[in-house]
Amino acid sequence: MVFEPLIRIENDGGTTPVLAQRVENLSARAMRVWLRTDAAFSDGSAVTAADVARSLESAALKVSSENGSILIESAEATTPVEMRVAEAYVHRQHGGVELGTGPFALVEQDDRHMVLRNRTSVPGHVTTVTLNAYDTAQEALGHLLQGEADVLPQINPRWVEFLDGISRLRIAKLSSPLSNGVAFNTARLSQAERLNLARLLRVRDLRILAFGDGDDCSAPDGELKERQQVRLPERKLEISSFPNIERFGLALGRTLGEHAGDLHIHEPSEFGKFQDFDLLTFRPRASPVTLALEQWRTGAVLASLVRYSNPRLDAALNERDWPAAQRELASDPPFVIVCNIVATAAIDARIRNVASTQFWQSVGSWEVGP
Amino acid sequence: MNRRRAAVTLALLVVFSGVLPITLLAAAGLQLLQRGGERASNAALDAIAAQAVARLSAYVAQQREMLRTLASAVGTEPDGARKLREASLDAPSLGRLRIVTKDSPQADLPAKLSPAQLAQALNGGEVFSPTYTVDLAPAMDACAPTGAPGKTVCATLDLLELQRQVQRIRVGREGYALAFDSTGRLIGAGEGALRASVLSGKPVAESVAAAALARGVPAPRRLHNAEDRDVLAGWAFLQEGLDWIIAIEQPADEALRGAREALIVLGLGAFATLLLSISLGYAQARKMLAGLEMEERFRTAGQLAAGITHDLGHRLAILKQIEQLAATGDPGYLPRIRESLAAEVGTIRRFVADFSDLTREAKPAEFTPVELNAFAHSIQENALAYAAETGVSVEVKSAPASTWIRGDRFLLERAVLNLTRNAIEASPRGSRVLLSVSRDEDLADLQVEDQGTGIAADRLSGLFESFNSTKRTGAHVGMGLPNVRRIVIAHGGSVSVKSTMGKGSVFTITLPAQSSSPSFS
Repeated sequence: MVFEPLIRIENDGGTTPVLAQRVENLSARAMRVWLRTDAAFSDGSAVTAADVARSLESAALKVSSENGSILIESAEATTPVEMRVAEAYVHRQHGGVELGTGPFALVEQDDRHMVLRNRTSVPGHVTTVTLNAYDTAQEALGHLLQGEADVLPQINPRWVEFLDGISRLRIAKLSSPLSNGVAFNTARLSQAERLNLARLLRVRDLRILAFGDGDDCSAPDGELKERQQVRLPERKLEISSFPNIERFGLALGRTLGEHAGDLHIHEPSEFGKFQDFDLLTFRPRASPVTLALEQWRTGAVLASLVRYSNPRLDAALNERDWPAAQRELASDPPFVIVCNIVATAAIDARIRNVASTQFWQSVGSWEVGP
Repeated sequence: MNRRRAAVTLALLVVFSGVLPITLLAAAGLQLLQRGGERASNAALDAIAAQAVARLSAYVAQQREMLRTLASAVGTEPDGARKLREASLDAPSLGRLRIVTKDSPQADLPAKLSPAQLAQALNGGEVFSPTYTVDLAPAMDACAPTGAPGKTVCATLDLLELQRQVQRIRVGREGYALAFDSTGRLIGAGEGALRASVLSGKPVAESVAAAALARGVPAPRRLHNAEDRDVLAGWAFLQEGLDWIIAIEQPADEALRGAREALIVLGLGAFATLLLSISLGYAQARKMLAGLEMEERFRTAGQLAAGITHDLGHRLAILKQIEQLAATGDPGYLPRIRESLAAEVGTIRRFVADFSDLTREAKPAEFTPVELNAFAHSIQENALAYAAETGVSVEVKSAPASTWIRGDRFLLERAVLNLTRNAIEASPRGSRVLLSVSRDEDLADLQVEDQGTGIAADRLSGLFESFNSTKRTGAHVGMGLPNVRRIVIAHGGSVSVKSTMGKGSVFTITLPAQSSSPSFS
């Protein structure tokens, strides 16, 4: 809303210029951008190469200017440079205030609240946004119910009950980058076994059993309608899960039937510290596709947890050949996505034009009805 | 009083004597109806609260029954722990199911059960805790016996469904339900803004009443809620297994809308009936008065005709006799004929004058000040000639001070002269007629007293009615005294008579006196 990056990564892995006018990918570690000539901060001053350099260098990127273009290099091995650039927001400090280039300007701020004002006032649209911080989500919901807040962007699906019958508020379903999935321990499961498991677990029954038949977890494309007959290992498969998704682990066990072994529930703090499992229920990133795929690059946290290494996948990622990387993951799967998480937001019923994706980016186009 | 005013008076009389009491009774009835409506609304809300409590109670009983069944079925099996854990997939409302023994880790022990309850559970008893809140939803710890000593199956029941049920109760358009625990903490609310108190635990307006009800103190049936509205409330207390108090509230204006609308309809009906009664009464009274007036006119015309016929007949008979005397051609009769004709002309003139008096209306706007002492002397002057003919004297007794009235001097003169002439005619030769004036506070009296034979008592009551004269020998058609009364009443006064047989009569005209001498501006 206030700050913008040079580029944005779309869900399909494509790159869209934001403050950049043109982008040239040099390698996985380097890219060149040309700054938009009309890029300006909220006080009207032009964005300079120096502003970009200062902003990106604070995100541990190396920046240098060459003949009107900006060369950006990343020293990190596991994350492509464009993803780092997409997460680095351009800003300038002026008079103790951080200026951004987005549609909103920060006009007031303390440790409990922040006031943003739309730089171009459009009648019938949101002009001012006040972000309030609460100690607990419960407290935030209480303020929403009392009419002291208009939007609660993320709400526990169980708490949706509290909004039932309140005409002042409506529920909005927002896409989330996370999904519910099952990771395979590649040290204990062969490629064929993992392929069979992936086919077995992409079933409607498991999704409904674990997450209900509501719309809090939507089926991924290509979900199988009925259970497949597949060959599974003769031994019982050990399942690990976490307290907040224990039911997912139980449902996974029931889906495996006689092949299900013990279910181990680990505290979140133990993540990455145990490997004595065959299957692990977890919440991998599902979008954008670039970040989702990068999770399985050799050496990444998730890949290390399930001891997954695939040189062909690494090569495809380096080449930015996302389809090839996806094909490689599908043929040698370290995981399977059961469903994509759908976030729940509570919004004042008068507010329209709330986008299900890019929620915050859409605030400027929100209309307020009578 | 004209016919229109008489009709209005009669109609109002009907209204005040008949319709108004009925209306007042109806208003009292409507008030009772309103109170009855409130009692009925409270009773209905009580019934809904009782139904809600029964439903919630049944849900909790069902959960505990499921727990008992599971505990006895799998609690003693070797892989019971796993089966229990899997059972929570099919019965998510039972929460985390686990087998508890005396060696179980602290994390597996139900947090809200007392050590005594836990001991009771391990000895084969069924125990449960009060409700408490987990993740904003009500929950309850419960343990059911497995059948094996020292082993029990415990669960943390997820009672979110209860909250859901409470929230979904709707009464009318704005009525809702509230659920409290025995301390008065709000657990569930159908009203959206109150749900913030479910989250914060802050007491609401009804919390005190709910906590009091849990102690057996009756809860109020009408109260002021947190939104500053008057609400009617029905209450129910769920003691068996779930110490919840359910309040069903409905804004009073909505709850009593039916009764209020009935009251308005009835009130409008009563008002319309009142108007109809007045209109019908007015119309009917006018019609009736018109009939009566017509009848009265015919009767008056008849009486008048009878009197005129009688008197003119008498006059004709006399004129006939005079004609016969004249027909003799005897000059000796001429003086008698002349006297008789002069007398008859005088009589007929007075006859005509009497009728002429009847046609003159008293108009208060044209009244002028009249001083009664002077007026009495004026009457005396006018009557002296006639009195002298009959050998009667006329005297005046004045009031000590000037006595002013307002009136039509001509009409008053006609009235008093009439009484004076009657008094002279009734008086024997040598007696006197006394005109006396007096004043008492705001009233002035003018009395005409004779020393005649008096009037029989049975004639006094109808003396001022038309054609009631006993004197048919002169110009007396019986219009004199009625005309006197008409004139006096038109002046806002009254006329009365007292008579003693053998001693004479006293006619008294009473008129409103002026407080001071008038100014003749």
